[in-house]
Amino acid sequence: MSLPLVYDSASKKVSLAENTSAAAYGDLQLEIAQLNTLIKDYVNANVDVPPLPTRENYTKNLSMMIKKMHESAAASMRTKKYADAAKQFGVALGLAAARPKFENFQMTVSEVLICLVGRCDANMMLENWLDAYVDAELLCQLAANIPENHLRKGVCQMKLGNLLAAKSDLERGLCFNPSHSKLAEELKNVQRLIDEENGEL
Amino acid sequence: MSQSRYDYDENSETWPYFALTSVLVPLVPATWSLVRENLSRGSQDADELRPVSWFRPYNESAQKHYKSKKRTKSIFSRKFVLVALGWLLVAGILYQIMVQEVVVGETNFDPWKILQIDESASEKVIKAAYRKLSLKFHPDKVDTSKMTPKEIEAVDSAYVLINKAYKALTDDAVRENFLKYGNPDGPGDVKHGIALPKFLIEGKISPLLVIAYVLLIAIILPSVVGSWWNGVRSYTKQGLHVDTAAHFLDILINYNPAKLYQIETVLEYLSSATEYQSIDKSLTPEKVLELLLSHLDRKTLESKDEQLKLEVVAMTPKLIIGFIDIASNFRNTDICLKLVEAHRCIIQALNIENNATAYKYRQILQLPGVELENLNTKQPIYTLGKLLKNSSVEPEKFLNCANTDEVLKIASQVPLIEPLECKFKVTGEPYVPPNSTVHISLKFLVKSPAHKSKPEISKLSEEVRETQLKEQETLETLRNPMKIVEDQPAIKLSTAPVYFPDPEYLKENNGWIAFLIIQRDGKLGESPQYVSKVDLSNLQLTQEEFLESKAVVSTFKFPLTAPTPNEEGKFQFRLALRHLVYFGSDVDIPLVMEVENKPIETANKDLYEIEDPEEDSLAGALAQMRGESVRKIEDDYSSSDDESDEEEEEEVDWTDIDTDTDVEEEEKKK
Repeated sequence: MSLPLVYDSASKKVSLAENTSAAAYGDLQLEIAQLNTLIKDYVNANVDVPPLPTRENYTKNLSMMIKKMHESAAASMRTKKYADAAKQFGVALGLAAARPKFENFQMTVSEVLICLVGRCDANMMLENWLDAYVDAELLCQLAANIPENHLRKGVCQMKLGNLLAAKSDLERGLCFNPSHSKLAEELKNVQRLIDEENGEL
Repeated sequence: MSQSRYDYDENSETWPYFALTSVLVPLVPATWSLVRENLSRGSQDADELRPVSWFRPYNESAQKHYKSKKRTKSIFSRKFVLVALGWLLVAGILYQIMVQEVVVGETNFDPWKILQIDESASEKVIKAAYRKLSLKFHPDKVDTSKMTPKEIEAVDSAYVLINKAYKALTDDAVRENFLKYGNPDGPGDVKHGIALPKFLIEGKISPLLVIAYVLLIAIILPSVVGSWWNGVRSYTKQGLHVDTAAHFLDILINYNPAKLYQIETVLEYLSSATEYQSIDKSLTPEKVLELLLSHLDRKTLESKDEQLKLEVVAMTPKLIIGFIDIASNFRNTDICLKLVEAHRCIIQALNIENNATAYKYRQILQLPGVELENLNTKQPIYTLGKLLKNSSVEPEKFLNCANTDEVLKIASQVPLIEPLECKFKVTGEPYVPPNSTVHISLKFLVKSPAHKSKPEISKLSEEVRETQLKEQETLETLRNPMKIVEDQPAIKLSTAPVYFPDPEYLKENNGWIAFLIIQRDGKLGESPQYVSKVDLSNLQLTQEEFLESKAVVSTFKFPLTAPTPNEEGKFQFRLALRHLVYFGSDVDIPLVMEVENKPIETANKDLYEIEDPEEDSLAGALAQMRGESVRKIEDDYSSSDDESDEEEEEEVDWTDIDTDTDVEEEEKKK
């Protein structure tokens, strides 16, 4: 089976042949994008073999930049400029996610998580529930064992009107820390809302 | 007569019987199964889902057409035609047998028939008959002058036969021969009979027969067996076509957790199923998806497409169930839950994705006759419960549809689950030990959306509490813990959903599907189970009756195939019950499996506990002294307990002595 691929030696990128419809090859396009990112990171590394993904080979500069961005975003949060904070967290997230793919993945994920948590909270403060929900959902997938992530997701679901889903999210959060008072409180809230919606109250 | 000689069935004596047998052997079972099918269909008609008579869905005529087509198809099936032909053939053969006179000859010697007398005739009668016949057929007495040689021979052989018959009945030696070998001449040559007339084998037709035989053995038989085997192989156990199953498998292998899976996404996956080709060869996946989406939007198409749409719609839920089965093997919660949602959307003909308002009001919109355009969407009435119990405006003003009373009645018949108790249970154990077979036992009340709150457990009737809430552990329930579930009546929907064409399907898939989700990773822990047997009688109760002891408790058990973990600890699960037909009847129950190990080593502790019955036995003895005969059995019981107690006490004594001596010895050593 041959695929409609074209390689451009100047930009060192693979792309779909021009006369093919992009819609028919959705999955292929995703894979092409991933391949191009890997190649770009490899070329930028400028060595024959990319260094081992150890703690020492972790680009500190990038970490510093992310940290600075995160700090300024946190400062915006403190001064209640949530819209700015959300934007800054977004930038920090972009930096963390764009880290060369040959570097330590575990450390990358933890950086991404920190930025994502910030953006999610900023969006929640902005009452931008849908964006916050998307972030929270990702957080729950990346770090399911942190009860706060389920709290975030549950609150977003509640605000979006999916009370039953909110309830099961909060209950799931409580599994990881049964004595989490905020979770328990929100769970009570949701239960009250469910009863109200069902006309029980 | 040489050994190799074959007797052909010249007189058609045997082959009709042979043919009759070979026709009847497959025909009788086929007829039986056909009759039973039709009988069961007849009885099903009696408990047919009640259609909503006062509401005409937009696709009513198409639905009628679909149903009548299905009915005629089932009556005039190929099987029916074959069975009818078979019985015609049987009638023909029977007629042939009736008409055929049995000619008496060497092969079927019957002395009574030859002598034209009854089998119970006395010797005198036999003699008289013989005399009469021999006079008539004696070669000397018959006038042979005008006869052909053939006729003369016939007369001769008739006389011989008459003689033989007479001897067979009177002469002892001949009689013995007759009884032993069936003819009076004693053992004859071994003859091979063929239940075919001679012309078929030695006449001109014999090459044709050979060709027919070769065709049967070499071509027809292999091709029939081959096509049957292919048919068996091309469908999985769940009734999915293998290509469809492979397609679903492919989707799940390439599952992308970052992608948002919507109802339309899963419908798109379903639309590539090979099964749709059996409806119409020209159906492309795009066309199927288009038809399904137009069904969700409740749009009328032109008549041919409308027919096609209903057939596609009737097929889809089965595919969804098959897809769920495969997805659950991948432990994929997201797709499974989305598929259930799609199932409901297909049955209720509701598109809840394109329009946020439709999503919010989905529970209301599933009621017959309620349309989004007429709904007063300023009112925050999203659930059936709110509509029935605590509506902010008059339901008429909110729904704006005909027959509000009927709509509300249907709404009140949607079963909801009110969980009372849900726990992990190991049969015959009060706790959950490691490595044991466990099931989830869910006790719940079926509740109408019109019912407010739930009855206190103390308010339930005594019988319900004793038998339904607390299960008695008899030998039978220990052997089959599912018995209490199986004893419940099967779920029957009160009214058929108005837009779905196939009520047959809804007779079986009308309950909840239960998923067991592991909280830690959010994946499915087990294959889903179906809640299909539930007592729905609670729905008919009034609010007072519901709260005052009339309610019955239902049970659902979810058996886990995997044993409990090896180590002690708490394991969190979520039991998600999703209704297959109605929106708004879903329940999520968090569950903790607490695996404890209570080792048998703690026998010492047990000993102290066993001492209690001793007091009991004392009490028993006292009771006996008081002369209470009722206690007698109990007394026997406790006395036997006593013995075992004593034994165990003795053991204790022994150990005591042992330790004592040890101590003494140690002291001595000191």
